Amino acid sequence: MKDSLVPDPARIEDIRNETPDVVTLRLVFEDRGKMETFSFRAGQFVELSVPKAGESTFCIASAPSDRGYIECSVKKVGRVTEAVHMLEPGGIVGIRGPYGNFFPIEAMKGGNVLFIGGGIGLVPLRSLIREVLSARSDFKRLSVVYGARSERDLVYKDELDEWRTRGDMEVVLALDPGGEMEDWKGEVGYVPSVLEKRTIETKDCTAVTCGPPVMIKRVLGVLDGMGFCSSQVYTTLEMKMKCGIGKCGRCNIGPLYVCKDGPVFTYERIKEFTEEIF
Amino acid sequence: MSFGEKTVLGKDELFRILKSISEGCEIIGPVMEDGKPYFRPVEGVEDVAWDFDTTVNGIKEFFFPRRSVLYEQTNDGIRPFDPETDKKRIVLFSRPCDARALTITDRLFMGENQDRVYGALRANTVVVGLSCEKAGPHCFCLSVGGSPFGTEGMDVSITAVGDDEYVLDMVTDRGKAFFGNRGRKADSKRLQEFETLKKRAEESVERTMRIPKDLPSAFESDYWKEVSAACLKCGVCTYLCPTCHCFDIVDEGFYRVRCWDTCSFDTFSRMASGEDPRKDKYMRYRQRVYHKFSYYKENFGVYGCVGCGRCTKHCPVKTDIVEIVSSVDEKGMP
Repeated sequence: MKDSLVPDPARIEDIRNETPDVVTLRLVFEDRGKMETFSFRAGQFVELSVPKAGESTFCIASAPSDRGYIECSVKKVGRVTEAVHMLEPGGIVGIRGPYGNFFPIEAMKGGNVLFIGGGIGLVPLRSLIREVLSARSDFKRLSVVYGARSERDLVYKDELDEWRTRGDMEVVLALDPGGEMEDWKGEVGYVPSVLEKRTIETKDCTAVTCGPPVMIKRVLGVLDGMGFCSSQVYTTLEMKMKCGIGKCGRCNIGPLYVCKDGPVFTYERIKEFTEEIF
Repeated sequence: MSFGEKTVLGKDELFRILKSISEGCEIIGPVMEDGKPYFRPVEGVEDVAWDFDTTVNGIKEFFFPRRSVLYEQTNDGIRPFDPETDKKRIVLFSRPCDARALTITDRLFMGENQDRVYGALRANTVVVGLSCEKAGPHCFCLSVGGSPFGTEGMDVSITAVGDDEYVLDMVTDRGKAFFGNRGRKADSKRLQEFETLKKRAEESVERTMRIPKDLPSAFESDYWKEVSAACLKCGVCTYLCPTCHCFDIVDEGFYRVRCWDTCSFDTFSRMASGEDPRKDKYMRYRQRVYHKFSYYKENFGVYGCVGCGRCTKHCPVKTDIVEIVSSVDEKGMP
């Protein structure tokens, strides 16, 4: 029997520096058959491991429509992520997954989608945005509100430029007050405040948000104030995980396990647990 | 003799049968160590205690090991470790609470994404249970769906009925296959005696836990701060608990190891970023209570507790989960 806790080796094909402490790994399974059959949906995550350092949870940053590889963006914050940052192209990591639920992209079709991200929280949204853009005509208006501490902390800078200039989506970039240089042309302010100043048509609009817990909490409040129904609002949550399959017992919020019942939740589903999460 | 029918046999005969069926098996049973009973691997049936109080440990660790090497990460790839399951094993004289605990952890480990280690150890082990004639001072099994004469999780149940005689109950096909037809059919006198002893054993359970119907309503109460104030965060309650199953996965060099963990520790849910949704001690104690009496029930249909009372008995600061849970309605509602 295949052990759910045993990973498959994957080779690092490419490493891109996103920010001073975030890299994006492009990964290809050593087993070609595994690569071909590995199927996931935007919003799902993997357990990525480095021998002698351990295993951690990362959402998949690439889109299901990106065939032949997967990407994970890794911020250097602890033991495993420091080990990831030491790796070079050609290095081997272990991958288990995909795990968790996903964004209900089918249900978003035919309407507007508003993406609200903060810092490294753009990663799961990027997977969804790329997937949405691969079928652009299925959606109406697309808007991205994304903020980071400073310009150098914005991830996927080239892609943000591409989204901004393609002409069929709105991209609002914001930097935390004090994080901007003189030549900054975007917004200055925290993401929830920047969002609050905008006029957004809530009808037929799905809002999707991910970022630091304090940002998510405030964004959910702002969306509420704008008139979004809590079932139209999705967020993807982060909790410490070990197994990724609902057994190790630590990623629960009330009876919900982020690894199995999440990581994607409607605001409606987690509303009663907000004090516990944030 | 029809399936499920109880049979009777003498102690000497039972001993001989246990000896012969455990031939070639690894045997796990209760033994006395420094005056206290523990479940341990033993050499032979003759080493096993027949009369013992609640053991310090349960039988959990023989199915969900304290530490398992999952695999080795080598330059040539990943080499999974097989759990040591080539040998048949027999657990002798599991108390009803500990056997029942297996049926509770089965729901987690044997369901979707079956745990390979747990699954293999469950499959190669026959559980022979021994009814409790009398409950211990910390027992409250009746409050959570168990009984001193319960048979859930056992393959065979054995009950002492006096005159050095024992009633045998084949609980599963596996137990029957292992034991075969043994003993003589229990007559009505013996069956009546069995029922009397069962009633007496159930009446000996002195403690009762009143589980609140609406535990979620008490979540925000300061009650959890009060009842956990003395907690040392040592984790003993969770390690000795027959149903606590939380684990960690760590790298020991090139070995990836799965080992027991506990929600008592302040690193349990702390993320690398420093964020921790259960950063305070009371939140972690509350998590333990809610996991057992609310979340597990909601997700798996049973409480994550068998009422063995070990957590209370062994707590260095006498934290008493029976008292704490029972008083929620009275003192814990916000």
